[in-house]
Amino acid sequence: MRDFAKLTLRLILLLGINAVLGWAVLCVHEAVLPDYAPWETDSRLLIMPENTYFGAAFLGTSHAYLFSRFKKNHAITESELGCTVFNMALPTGGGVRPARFYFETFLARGNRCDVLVYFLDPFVFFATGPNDGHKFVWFEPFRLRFFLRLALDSYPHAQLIDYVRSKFGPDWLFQHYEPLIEHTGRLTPADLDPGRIRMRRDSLYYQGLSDANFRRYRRDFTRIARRCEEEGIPLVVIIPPTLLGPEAGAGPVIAWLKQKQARFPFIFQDDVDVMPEPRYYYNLDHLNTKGVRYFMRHHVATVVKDARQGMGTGDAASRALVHD
Amino acid sequence: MLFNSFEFMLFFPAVVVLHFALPQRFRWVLLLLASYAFYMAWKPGYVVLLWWSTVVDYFAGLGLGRARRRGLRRLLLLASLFTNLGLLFVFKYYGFFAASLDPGLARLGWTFRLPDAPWVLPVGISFYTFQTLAYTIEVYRGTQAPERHLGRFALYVAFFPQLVAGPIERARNLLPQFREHHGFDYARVTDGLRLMGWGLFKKVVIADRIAELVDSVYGAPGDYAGPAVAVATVFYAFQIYCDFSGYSDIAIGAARVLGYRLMQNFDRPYFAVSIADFWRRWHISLSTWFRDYLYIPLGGNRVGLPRWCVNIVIVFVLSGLWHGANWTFLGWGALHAMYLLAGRAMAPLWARCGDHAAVRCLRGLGVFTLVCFAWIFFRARTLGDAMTLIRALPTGWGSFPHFAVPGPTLVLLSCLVVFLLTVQFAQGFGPLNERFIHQPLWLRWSVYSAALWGIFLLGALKQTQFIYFVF
Repeated sequence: MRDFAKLTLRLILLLGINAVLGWAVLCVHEAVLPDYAPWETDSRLLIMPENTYFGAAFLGTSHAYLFSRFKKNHAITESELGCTVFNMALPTGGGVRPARFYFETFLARGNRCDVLVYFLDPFVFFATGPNDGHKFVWFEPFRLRFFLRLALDSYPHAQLIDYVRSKFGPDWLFQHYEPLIEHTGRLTPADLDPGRIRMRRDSLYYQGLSDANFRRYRRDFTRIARRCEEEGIPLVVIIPPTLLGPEAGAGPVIAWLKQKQARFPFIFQDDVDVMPEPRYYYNLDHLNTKGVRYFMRHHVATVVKDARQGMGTGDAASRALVHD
Repeated sequence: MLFNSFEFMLFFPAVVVLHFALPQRFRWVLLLLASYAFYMAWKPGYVVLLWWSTVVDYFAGLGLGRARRRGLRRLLLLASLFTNLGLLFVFKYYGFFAASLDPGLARLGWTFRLPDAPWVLPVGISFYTFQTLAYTIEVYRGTQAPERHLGRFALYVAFFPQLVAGPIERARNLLPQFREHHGFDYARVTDGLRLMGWGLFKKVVIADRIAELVDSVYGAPGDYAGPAVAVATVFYAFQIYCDFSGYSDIAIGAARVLGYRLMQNFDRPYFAVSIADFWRRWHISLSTWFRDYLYIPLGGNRVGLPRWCVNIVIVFVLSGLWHGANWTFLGWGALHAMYLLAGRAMAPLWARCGDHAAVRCLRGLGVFTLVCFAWIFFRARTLGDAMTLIRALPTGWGSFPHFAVPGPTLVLLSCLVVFLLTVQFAQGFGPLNERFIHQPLWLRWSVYSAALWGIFLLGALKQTQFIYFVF
């Protein structure tokens, strides 16, 4: 029995010493990291403040991530909406699960916003890649609370290990981000090749219209909507514009969202085909800087203003609008 | 359940704690239940095959213990052989047999087609059937007393550390240990844990990292020239060694933590100076099985040269077939048989060269090259792929090979292989463990810490299956 206790103690001590060593490396590294602006890093946690008020907070995929990942885009977004914006959208198809983790962390850190705008691409409900398989942990600093949030939410073990492990890799320790200023590239009608469009659409639905995934990940959306309701934050859901046309999953997702509006009053706006001009895009489904300005001014500003004005009226049903 | 899985990290400590907490007389129950749970974590239904094999050999053993008539004893042995080899044939070789027979039947104009096998290969079937067969054969020979306790016999067949990938234990070594009392011995437990750690390092850091490079070349054999094929094959030699010996180390270490001694399965095989020497060092539990239960009954080396050649070919072709139902494994086994025959022919030449270090080194390099060449057949998906790779070998030596893995990864893999060889070279001067435990505490803990960080940072922690699980 004494030997058993001795071994257990030694194992705990060995693991403890190494954990402290690792922790020390992370703390020293984070202390020397610069203060990043949104257009200087892919990390959302590094730029997420505490106890701060924003006019709007964004969730979404790369289609919304580019609103802040380029310096000019961020300035345009804030100026067109007339409020400060904190953008938590993720590149490489950030799905509903990561979006929920970020939104919950945003609130847990004491932050507030007048309105949450979710730029929701239907494809994120149908594949594991944007959700359980998303590599967002690679570009986030190690935060014990964030780690526990993921662990308690049964996020895959491999992802949790990757989260910790990636913090000791050269890509993280010697990180150097180039600030992105604006995107001036633009498409022409000649770029709208049906073959390329089909290939891109297929790549978004690489697991097809998986009903199991849809059922699994729409629970995350429901939790976001419920949290908004609890916090009294109006929710706006916008399907962002694209040259790909309506997605394969758009039908079931829109039908489900409209059904959900009965329970959680949120504003829903389908903007998938409101900007068919190729000059506003730098590829088939990502807006360039001019496109961002146009989209914000003509399609987002009004709905965000409506939502912000609807705040505090106590009339939740008045916010259950469908902007067409 | 995989040794390199999160589940095993919870399962094993729980079994260890319960094992030492229970009185000796109940420990077999715990180990048996744990072994079945370990096996059923994969496909629960296939545990029935394990039970079937256990029950048949248990009663065959009891029958052999009582029977005096030679005819009856033979009948009981044949029943055991038929049951175990029948299971193996149905679940492992039927698909291969059908796929190989169908084209022949079609060529003869027969429209009859054998039905497809609706089952998958049960994990570890080759290992546990050979283990139970060894028991029955020993009881038949009278060198092993039949085990009367069904529970302990079931545990001998299913003991979880070595159930799915060996070592293939002998009853005379393992069965008596289930009756002995094993207290918690600090030195033995830490020794076992060190061995498990070293095995895990070999598996997740060396083998699984190398797999990325090897898979890229062997997955597209037509796309690579000679240098890439050669490099990938040399790396594969270390991948399969680290994968399998890593598993064996974890198995032996886990058993040692619980108080049981399993047989050694590897003895620095790439330091062999002849093919015969290689087979004394590689997968020792299988090669001694074939020696004891096939080669010697066939006459061994106490026969004329032609018969000896036939014996060697039979043993190695069957050994190849044991590894998998594919022509590539038959080719691999046959090639090793040819090596051994050639080695015997060249023995007088080597004898004249003496036993100098330079000669040994040269012979070691030659053996390693031959073994690597044979690994091409072992790793290739089909014989056609193997021939494509062999044809590519002499080509493209004028340029630097192109790989799917980045340059720094290639450097890292090379460093890992050099590290492995250095450790093994040092092991040649005596057990490293003995010297290590007498080092100061700070040095030992530094090594443990380095190993922990090595596994954590460099390991491919994707819970990849061990290569020998499919054999």
